[in-house]
Order: sequence, then C-alpha cells, then structure tokens
Amino acid sequence: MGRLLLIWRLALRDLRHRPVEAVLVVLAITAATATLTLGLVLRSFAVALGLRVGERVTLDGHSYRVTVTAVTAASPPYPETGFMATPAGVGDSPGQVWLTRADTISLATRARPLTYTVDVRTQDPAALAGPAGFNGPWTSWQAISAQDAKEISNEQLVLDVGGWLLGLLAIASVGVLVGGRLAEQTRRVGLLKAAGAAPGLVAAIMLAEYLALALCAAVIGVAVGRLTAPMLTSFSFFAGLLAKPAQPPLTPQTVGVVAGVAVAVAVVSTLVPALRAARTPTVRALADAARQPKRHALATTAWATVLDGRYPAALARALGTTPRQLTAGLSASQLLPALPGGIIGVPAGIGLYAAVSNGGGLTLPPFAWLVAVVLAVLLAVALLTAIPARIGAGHPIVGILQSEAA
Amino acid sequence: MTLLSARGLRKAYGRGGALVRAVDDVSLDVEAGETVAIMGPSGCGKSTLLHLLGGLDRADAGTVALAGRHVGQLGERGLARMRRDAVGFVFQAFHLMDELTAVENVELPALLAGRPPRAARKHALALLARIGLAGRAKFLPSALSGGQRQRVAVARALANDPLIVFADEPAGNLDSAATLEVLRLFDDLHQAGQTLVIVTHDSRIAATADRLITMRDGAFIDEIRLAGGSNGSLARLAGLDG
Repeated sequence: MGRLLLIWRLALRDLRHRPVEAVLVVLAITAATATLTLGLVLRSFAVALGLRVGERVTLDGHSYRVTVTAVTAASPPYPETGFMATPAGVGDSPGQVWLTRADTISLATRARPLTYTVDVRTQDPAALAGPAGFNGPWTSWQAISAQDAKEISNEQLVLDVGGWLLGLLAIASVGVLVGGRLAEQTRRVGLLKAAGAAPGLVAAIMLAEYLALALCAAVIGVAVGRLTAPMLTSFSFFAGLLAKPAQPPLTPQTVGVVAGVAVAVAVVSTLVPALRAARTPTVRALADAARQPKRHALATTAWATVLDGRYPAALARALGTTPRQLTAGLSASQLLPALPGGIIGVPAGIGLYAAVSNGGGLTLPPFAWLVAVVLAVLLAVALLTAIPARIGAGHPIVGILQSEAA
Repeated sequence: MTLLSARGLRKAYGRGGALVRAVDDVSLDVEAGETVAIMGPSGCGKSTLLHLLGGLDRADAGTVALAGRHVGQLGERGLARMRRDAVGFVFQAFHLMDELTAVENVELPALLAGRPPRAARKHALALLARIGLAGRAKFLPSALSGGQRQRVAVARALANDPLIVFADEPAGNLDSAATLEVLRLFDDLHQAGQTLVIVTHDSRIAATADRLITMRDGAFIDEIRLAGGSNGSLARLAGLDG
C-alpha cells in the first residue's frame, strides 16, 4: 500500500515537474494509438461479415440461417478494392454470401433479376457498342478503372493521415531524445565555447549530428517505401482483368519530399534544445556534470524517460529500493501519461477514418478490439520502460549520484 | 559490541598508469553507539570508503560486515534491503526529491520498506518535529534553506531507525549558520546513541565524534580518541557557544 502510494505520488509529481515531456509522451502515444485504430477500422469490415454458423442474416428482406462459411479467391477482400458490375454497385463495399440455388432464385425480382458477372477482355474493344451487345448490365473497363481509382484514393487518404500521425510521433520521440541528449552534452558545449566557438557554431554542431541521422533515415525510408509500395497496391485490382498495375514510380520529387520531411523533423526537434544548449553560460556548462547515459539508437520516449530518471532512480536505490521495485515503479509511472493518450487515440483514429472516408460506410471494430489496442499500447510502454530500467538498475549508484551532484 | 567491521578493503579506479587506489587496505571497527569521524584532504578516498561501508559500492577486495552480516555476499536485492532497513545516508548535496515536500521526502524510506502510509507519515512528522522543522513539513526543498534541507535529509536517513548512519560531508555545502544547525543535530543523534560514521572536512563536526581517523592516499594514517565524544559539549568544542 505504502509502495503503491509512493509510486503514484512520484509519477504524478514528476509529471507536474516536467509538463513538456508529459505532453510529448501523450502526443506520441496518441499518435501511435490513433494509427493502430485506423488500421483496425480498415480491417474490421472483413470481420464484420464473418458471421458464425447458426446465426441468421437478412438479405433483401429474407431471413436465412448461416449453415457454412467459405473462403474464395474470386474477389479481393475488403478493404482492397474490387468491382462487381451489378445495378446495386456493390464495388464500394464488396462482400460475398453463398446461397442455395432455391434461395438465390427466391431473391430475384422483375426489377432485379439474377445476373452473372463475367469479365471480358475483347480483341477489339471498339467493336463493342455498349449494352446493346449484351443482354444485361454492362460496364466498361473505363468505369471499373474509375471505380477502383476512387477506392485507391480513399486508401491513399488514410495512408496520408497515418503518415502524418507517424510524423508527429517521430517529432515527439526525436524531440524528447534530442532534448535529453543535448542536456547531457552541456559539458561538451562548455568546452567548445571555452575554445572559442560562438553560440551559432555550437548550435550548428549540435544540429549537424541530427541532420546526418535524418538523411540516413531518409535513405532507409525511401528504400523501405520502394520495397513495400507494391504490396499495398498489387491487391487493388482484379488480377488478370486488365493486367497488373505498374510498379509505383520512384521519382526525384518523391526522394526530395522524403528527405525534406526527414530533415524537417530533425530541425524542428533539435533546434530549440540546440539553441538553449548553445546559450548556456560557459562557466556553468563547464561545471555541469559529465553525465554518461548512452542512448541507444532505438531510443524512444520511454527509454529517454528512464535515462532522464537515472538520478531519482539511483537515489531510490540508495534508500533501499530493489531493482524489481524500481523497474515496476518506473514502468507504472509511464502508464499514467500513456493512459489518456491511449484512450484519446481510439476515437481520434475512428474520427480520422470517418473524415477521410468520403461519407462511406464506417464499420467500427468490436469494442474488445479497441480496449485491446489501449491495453497493448500500455503494455508496450511498460515493457519499453522496464527493459532499460532493469538494465539501469544494475549500474553503480555512486557514479550516478556523484555525477548529478557535481 | 562491534556493529560494523571492515577488513582489508581495497578499491581502485582506472588502469595502468592512470590507476588510482582510492581505498588501499583499510580496516575499521565501529562500535554500536559510537561516532567515528573520518577526515583527510580531498580525493584521499574518504567518500569511496563510506560508499563501500554503506553498500553503495562494492570493494575490489576485503570484507565488510554489518551486524555480523557480510555485505559483500549480498546480491543487489539484499544490498537494497540493507540500505533500506539497516543504513541511513546523508549526502553533501542533500539529494532530496525536488518534487516531494519535506515530510514526503522523510517518509520515503518508510514507504519503500512497505510501512503503512499513515504510520510512515506519523513517524516522518515526529522526525521533522525532532529536528525543528515541523512547520516546514509541507514545503518543497526549493523553499527551504541549505541547512533546513540537510536537516530534512538527516530526518530521512533516520526514517527506518537504521543501525548506522553514514554522512558524507554533511556540512560541505552549508554556510556557518547552517553548519551549526547540522552540527547540533548530529550531536543530538550522538547523545541519543545513534551510531554514526561521518566523513568531513569540518573540524567542528569531527570534534563531536568519539574517534577521529585521518586518511591520506586511500589509507588510514592516524587515529585518535576524542575527549569530548558523546559526553562533550558541542558548543564548547565547536567554539560557537558565544
């Protein structure tokens, strides 16, 4: 009870003590959760159709009992686009139900007779005069292409929003990481300034490191994007109808935009802490402790939080906290800002999807899935905090206390 | 009764030509209720020795036994338990939690030890009253003077009624008036029978001890018993009674 009180007290006070970091953590978690939710919304329609055997389904006013479920490769699953040329225009929300012959016949009316859909590729498209050549609904490949393009456009919007959310996540994470790192480099700043470097030069040195990292990230990003893009688009058309779509082009403009975004992320997240470090009085910077936390390349806000909390953690250990208690406490303290972020992220993701879906039908994922998203995010935050905390709990207490007190 | 016993302690930093023997073959016995002061020039290894004795750091060689229990044989969890239950630390830089009030800082070790919050709070308030800071219980460290902060740190060190308190330059960051506050507090602890090991540059604080050890280059070079000790008059010894 006492320990629990202590954990939450320290967590709450730390949040109050470092509100900017708390906001960044909330922002990062919100972006992550919203992106995950977005993905779930995209996937949920397929599951929404996954009726269980024995349940009843109503089609055109007729109630049927589900006797069997099956899988077909004849039509791409939602949300990948497809097109079925029927008067109802089901291409916007494809899905298939198998009925017995008798049940199928019972659904037919004079206005909506039974039809078969056949994809035809003619040797001479110009020879087709239109519906007159067929006894039934007829749709040109241009119409199918336009319909697919509309679906692709929706997907692209969702991907764009997801991309922006991940961008925010990157800025927040890099901001926390860089802010912490530059604080560690105060002594280095002091030495540079003592050697005659002007504040502008010091800031430039600080920026250069992260600009180089940003350019590396851009190269990797372009390569990954180039390799994964076909996976996103290859399912979006009826394979074999009009041949597969062309490989997405990698233009110089695309490379330029990606590199520009990466550099912008680095500059936005580095500029303020770099300028602040550069303005630190030389004597104070020289007197500052040469702290030694080594930030891993995979550092996140959770890692940064643990590293920034080395001093209170060392102090707690000096007072008798066991490594297990310390790890549990630090993990729990990160759950506090993560929880509102996780909860906000779910409606944010749903809202974003609704906003970009052009008024299309929105099928919400099961409530349990949404709860699972929040729990998964919280678990990830706790684990990401626990790992470095456990490693850090093995470091000598004295060195940390002395470096902070120096 | 010997409470703390160290034999052949060694601790070195660096390698080759840069090797520094911070503690070099030091042995020490501290009796229960005794106050031992360790003095010496900066960098002579006083603080390192204190860290080894208190389980904050591990020795390269030698043994430390506290109440008959060998510290070197304890794992990380055992060391933590020892620091929590049997040992209290007072640091030169106070090392208070900035975001916690005075009373919350004092009750922190008790909460860590799993004491009920109400009992921990009651004990912490009693300790603050004992050091004359009952009226500052709700103050953050930033609102306290240096001397008051160090007194809060001493109260925190006493939160779990430790067998021994280690103080590392407790007046090192304090002005004369604040030093006197801390001086009186340590003398009170001494009179109350609390076992203390104090590393200090301040001869006034050293004068409150039963035994004064002088250290140089990682080794003990002198040891004297002081006449004042637990029966001495602090103000007279420190020359601050006027």
